[in-house]
Amino acid sequence: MTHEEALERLVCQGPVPLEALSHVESCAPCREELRALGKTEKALRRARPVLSAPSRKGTVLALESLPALARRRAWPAAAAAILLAGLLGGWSLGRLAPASAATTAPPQEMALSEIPWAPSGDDSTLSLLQAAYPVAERFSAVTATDTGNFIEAE
Amino acid sequence: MAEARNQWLEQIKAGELGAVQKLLDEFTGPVRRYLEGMVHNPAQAEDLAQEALVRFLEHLGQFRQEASLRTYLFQIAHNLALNHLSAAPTRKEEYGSEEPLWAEDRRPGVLALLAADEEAGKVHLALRRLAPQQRAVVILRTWEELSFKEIAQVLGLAEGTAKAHYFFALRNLRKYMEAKDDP
Repeated sequence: MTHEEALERLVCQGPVPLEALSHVESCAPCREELRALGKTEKALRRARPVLSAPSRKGTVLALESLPALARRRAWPAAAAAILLAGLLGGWSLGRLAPASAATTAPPQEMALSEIPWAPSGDDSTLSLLQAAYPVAERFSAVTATDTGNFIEAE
Repeated sequence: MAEARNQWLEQIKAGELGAVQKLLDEFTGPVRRYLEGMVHNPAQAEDLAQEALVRFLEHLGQFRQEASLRTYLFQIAHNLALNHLSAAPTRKEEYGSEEPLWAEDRRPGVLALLAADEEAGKVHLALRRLAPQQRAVVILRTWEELSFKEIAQVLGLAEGTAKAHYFFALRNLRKYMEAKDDP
């Protein structure tokens, strides 16, 4: 075993082969170097800088990277929620479509044609709205000149 | 123990602030100290430490559970330090030499100037003269108290190579520290 091999095994701890030990025991320069390396190691440990408190800048930067992390993690959940909403929407539309047929309609529901004030043949949004709110329809029919008469009449 | 650590990791992955804060409290200091020893510039070490932590959080998905959290973080920090040091020769105009910064710049750095005593100053100056790989092994071993197995993981070396680096680093340090005593 060479001087270096023996010293390396002794310096790096762990299981030390007897061969290395016996070499160092019988080799004065190796013993001297081993002592010196031990002193260097101790000096290194003593020179370890003392830790200061973590800076706020670091914390802020790290926390700033979190939303991106959360966004990435939120993607599958968001996709699942959209899919679920789509499926539920489709399912409820599927339920509504047969409900408009007179045969399966529950008693509280009524076909559009059965509503006496419902517009016939015109299914535009405005006419549907006016059908739903007949009072509004009456007001919308009041013209500027009529307004005076209306107030007068009241 | 392992269960608690896994739970902590999951909380970090979920972005729970408390868990992330605990991570920062535990690792920011050691990572910054390691980088300070490597680059010898507290401001750059601070920036690199922050970058290491941000990269760690960004690449948390790639973290393998069998590696220790500390080892993984030091691995990121070490790669950043090497990138930083390899860019050093491009700053030769600043220092007037074509040698790498770690090899030629022996002026006392802030760390050395602020060192509590003369011995610590000598150690820091001698550390600067070590090759990055040897410096990394010495710092991880004596300051961060990593095992040779962990050091080997951080540096991507065989355990025996890490031990050899440590031994030769100690020898070189001794030589450099003694040389400083010479008139």
